[in-house]
Amino acid sequence: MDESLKKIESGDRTVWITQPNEIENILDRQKTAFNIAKEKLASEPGKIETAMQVSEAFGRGLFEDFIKKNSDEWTMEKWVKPIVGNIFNPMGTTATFTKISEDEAKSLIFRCHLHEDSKEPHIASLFTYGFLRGMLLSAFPDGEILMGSSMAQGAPMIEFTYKKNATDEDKLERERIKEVFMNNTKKAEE
Amino acid sequence: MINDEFISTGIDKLDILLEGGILQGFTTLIFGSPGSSIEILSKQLSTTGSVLYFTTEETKDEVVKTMTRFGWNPENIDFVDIASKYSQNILTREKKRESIYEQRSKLKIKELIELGSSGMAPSVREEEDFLAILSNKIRVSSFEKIIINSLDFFLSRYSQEEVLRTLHAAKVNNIEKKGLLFIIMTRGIHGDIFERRMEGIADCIIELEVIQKGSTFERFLAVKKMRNYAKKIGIARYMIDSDGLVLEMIERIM
Repeated sequence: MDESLKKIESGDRTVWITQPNEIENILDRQKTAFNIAKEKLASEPGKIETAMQVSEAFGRGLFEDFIKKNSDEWTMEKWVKPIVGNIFNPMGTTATFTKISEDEAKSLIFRCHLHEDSKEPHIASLFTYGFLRGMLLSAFPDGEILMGSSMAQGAPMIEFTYKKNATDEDKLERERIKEVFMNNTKKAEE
Repeated sequence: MINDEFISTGIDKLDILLEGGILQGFTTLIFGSPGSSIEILSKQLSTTGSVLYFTTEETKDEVVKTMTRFGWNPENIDFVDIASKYSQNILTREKKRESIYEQRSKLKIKELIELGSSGMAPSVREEEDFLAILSNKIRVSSFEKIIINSLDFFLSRYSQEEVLRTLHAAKVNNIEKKGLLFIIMTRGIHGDIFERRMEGIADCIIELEVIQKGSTFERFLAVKKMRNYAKKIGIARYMIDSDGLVLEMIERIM
């Protein structure tokens, strides 16, 4: 790992933390795509699928422009490094990777501009899941991202698990996320 | 047809802006943003000639319903309803998921161990290759117009390289068959490099833009590129009424 991801070892535990270094160009690009996904949701109520597709396409575009050149044969470690250096850090995302192995990684997201600036955390979560998924599947077509919650420093966090090879059950995660989003939106409206 | 070389878009004033329509064999890239009513434009383009229409966000029924509301006849259109196919895939997977859980709840521990810890069926991944459907249908068909609405769907599932390869093949087929190929995509999602590459493939580029002026929105249709026909480049303000997209105040740039 290079300086874009700082390794910290404590006892028998190792974590890797991102080094945010915001770059306006990529933040603007993210903001534009997020607004498009948001407007698609607004103009076609209930069509969460379209908004998910927009965010996945955005992730695939980021992969082509910033990640692809780094490897022909992907391992999770080879994927995480440019994701952090070229995407997370320029987007000002503060995350801690609690696991990076050959075929699986886990990260806790502590700070994300979209969640803070948009004031629409549900849409921001859907969008973030979608674009991370687009980037992951570009390298690992049989992979999947699982989105869960976890506690860190007493506060609830979003935990992403990036899998190189998804099980059949993992493959249902995308639809589950859409369902969760739909339920959260309904609750917010009530 | 307006003359031997040009094909009418199906929108009179757009044909005027384009000085007679679009040249046979041309690939037209249409950029839009949410709120620009690009979905109405794509249907309006289908009102004349024989049309092959790929619909990814709306089902065929939804497209037909909207066209009927505007008084446009959809009978000349051969639909490839990817939106329905895709929704059906999701429903099938969901049913499988339910049936797997039902079966699993009836299994004994010994049987579960034999199946593996999750007790899931061997695979729930089968999905149609939508890019192959697109490619194959374009290759074997012969229509005056082919409309892909929209490319965003394919770009959310396939790499940009794969999509570009398919579009190159579609373009070659379209040149041979002397039709019009319209590709619709949203600007701002797929990255500048990809947009530039798409602009390179296209013979004609049309962009729908929405500009907020105070509390109102103004919509503009700009013809930004027309290979070998620079005089056709221009811009027009448009509005949406019961006739669909109506162009007004045409202004030529060159």
